[in-house]
Amino acid sequence: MQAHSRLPHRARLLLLALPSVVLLSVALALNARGESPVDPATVEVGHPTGHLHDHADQTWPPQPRGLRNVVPLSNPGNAERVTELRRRARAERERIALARPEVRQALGKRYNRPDVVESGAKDGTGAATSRLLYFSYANNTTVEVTLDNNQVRGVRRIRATDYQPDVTDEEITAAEVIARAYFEARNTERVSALKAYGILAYLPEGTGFYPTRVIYLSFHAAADAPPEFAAWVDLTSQRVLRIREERS
Amino acid sequence: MSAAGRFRAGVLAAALGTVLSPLATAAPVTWQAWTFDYQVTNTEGLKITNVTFQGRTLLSSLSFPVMRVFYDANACGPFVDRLGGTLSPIPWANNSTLAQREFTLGGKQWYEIGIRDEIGNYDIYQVYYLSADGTIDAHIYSKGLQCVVNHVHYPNWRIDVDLDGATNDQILRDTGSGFTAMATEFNAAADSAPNHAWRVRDTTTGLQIDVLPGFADFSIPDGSTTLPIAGYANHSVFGRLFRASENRGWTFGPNTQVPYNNGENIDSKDVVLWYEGYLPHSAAEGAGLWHSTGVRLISNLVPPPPPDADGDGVPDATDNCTLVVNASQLDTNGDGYGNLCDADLNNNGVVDSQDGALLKAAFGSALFPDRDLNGNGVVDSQDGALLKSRFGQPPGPSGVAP
Repeated sequence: MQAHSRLPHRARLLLLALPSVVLLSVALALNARGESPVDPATVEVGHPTGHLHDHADQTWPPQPRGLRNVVPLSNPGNAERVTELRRRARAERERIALARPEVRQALGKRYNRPDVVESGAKDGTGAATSRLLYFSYANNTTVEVTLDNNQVRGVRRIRATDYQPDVTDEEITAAEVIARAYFEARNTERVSALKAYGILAYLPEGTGFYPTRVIYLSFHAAADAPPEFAAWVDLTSQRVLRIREERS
Repeated sequence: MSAAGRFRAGVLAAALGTVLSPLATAAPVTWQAWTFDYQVTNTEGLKITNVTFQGRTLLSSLSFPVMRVFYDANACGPFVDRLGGTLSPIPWANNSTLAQREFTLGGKQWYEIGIRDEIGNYDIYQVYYLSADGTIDAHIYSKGLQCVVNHVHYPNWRIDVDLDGATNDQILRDTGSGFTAMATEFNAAADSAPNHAWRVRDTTTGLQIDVLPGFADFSIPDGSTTLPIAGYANHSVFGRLFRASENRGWTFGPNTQVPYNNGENIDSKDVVLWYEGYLPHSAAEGAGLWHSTGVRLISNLVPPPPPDADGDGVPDATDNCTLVVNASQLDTNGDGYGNLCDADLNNNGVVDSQDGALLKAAFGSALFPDRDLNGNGVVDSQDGALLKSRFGQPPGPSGVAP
C-alpha cells in the first residue's frame, strides 16, 4: 500500500523520520535502568512469560473466579440518568462558550465537540472552574476555553503539536466515512465487510501530537478479531494519509 | 438501609446536585466499614473520592488518568487511553454502564464498582474491589488489537492519599531492613523496594496503607504474593506533592511519563502517589485474549470481625449452618449443610414426613451418621426433636452450600 500522494508536506517529513526514531529507541534501550522507572518512550518493550491467564469459562468483562453470594447493585436506569446529566452539563457549557464571539472566531467554521477538563483543590474550591478543549479543523489548532462559574474567563489557542483533546465519537464516524470512500475508490472491497474502530493517532516522539488532527482506524471482522486493514485519516485536510493491510 | 437502597439514594442526590455544575457525577456509597463517593469523568475514568474505612480517612481520591500503549517498532500508535467517555454496557450487570455489586470470595466479602469503555479496538474494564477487611484492589482488564504487533499497556493510577487528613503523610520505601521515608519528589522502579513494598504513613497518627502490586489472575488472592516478579519488574512508582494545579487528569501525550517532578519536599506533607503498571500483550495471543494488572492498597486498621450471625466462631461465609451454633461443622453427607441444620435426609429440598420416616427407621442405631443430627453417635429422640423443629423448612441456611 502507498501513502496518499497528496500527503501534507509536514506529515511526509514525519513519516520519513520514523525509521530513525525506531533506531534511536533501540539505542536508548541499551542504557542501564538503575532505579529510574521504565520509560516506554525510550525502552524497547518486552514480553515476559508467566503472565498468561486461564481464561476458561470466563465472561467479559471478567468476573473473579469462584465468587459467590453475588448481590447486584447496578441500576441501568440510574446509569442512564447519570449519562444524561453529564450530557446536559456539557451542552450547557458549550452553549455558554459558543455565545462568545472570541470563541467562535478561534474555532472557525469547522470544529469538534469539546473535551472537558476539570481541576481544583481537594476541598472543592476549584470545582467551579473547568476548561473546554476544542479542536478547530478550520484553524488547525486546539482551542481552550476556560469557564469560571459558568462564565468564559479566557480563550487560548494551543498549537496542535502541543496538545489535542481526546477524540469524539463524531470524529471517528467522520474519519470512517473518509477512509471507506478511499478504500472503495481503490476497489478494496473486503473493507466494506469490516467494522471500523477509531482512536486518536499519536507520534512516537516529542509530545506525541500530530501537527494536524489524525485519527487511526483499524478494520476488523469482529471485535475480537485481529485488524485486517488500518488507515490514518487527517480530519484537518479531510484526507487519508496512509493505509496498510495487516498480516496476521 | 440496604446497600442497593443507599446506592439509589446516592444517585438521586447526585441528580439533584448536578444539573449545571460538575460534568462528573458523584454518589455516596456506604458498605461495611467503607464510605466513599464515586465519579465518572472523561479525564480520570472511574474515580472514587473521600474514601474512609472504619471512620478514618484514607484517600482523597483514587483514579485512573491514563493508560499509555506502545507497539513494537511503533507499527501503530503509540496511543493514549483515557477512560470515562462513552461507556459500554456490561452484560452481567444488567447492561448497566456502571457495575456495582457485592460478593463473597474465599470467605471474604467484596464490593465491586467498575466501568467498561471501548477505545479504538480496545475493550477495557476499569474496576475497584474493596474488601470488608480494608483492602482496595484497583484493577484494569484490557483486550483488543489496534494492529497485529506485540505491545505493552502502561496503566496509571493516581492515589491522592489523605491519611487522617491531608497533611503529615510520608511515602516510604522498603529497604529490606525496614521502611525509609522519601524526602523529595521521585520517580522510581517499583521493584527498587524489596518485597514490592511501598507504604504511605501519617507521621502523627500512625495510620498507613501498604501499596503492593495487584493480583495476577482474577481469583483475588488473600495474600501479598500477587503478580509474578517478571511482570512486576516494569512497574513504576512516582511520589508527588499535592498541587491543585496538577489535579486535572491526563493532559499529555503518550510519550510523557508521570510529570510534575520538581524535586519538592514530600516528607510529612500532602502527598500523591502515582503507580504505573505493566501489561504486555503478544499479538500471537489474538485480539480476544484479555490481560489484567493492578495495584493493591491495604490499610493497617484492624479489620472488623467477619459476620457470624449465630456466634459460633465460624464466619457466615464459611459456616455450614449460619443460624445454628455448630462449631464442629459436622456435615456427614458433605452436601454443604451441617447435620444440625440438615434434617432433609432424602435431599428433596424440604424437611417432610419422608425424612421423619427415615429417621424413625434408624432410631437407636449408630449406623446412620447422616441421620444423627446432633452428632452424639446415635439416632435418638434428640434428633427427632430437631427434625420436628425444622419440619416444613429447607435445610440450612448455609454459607457454603451450592
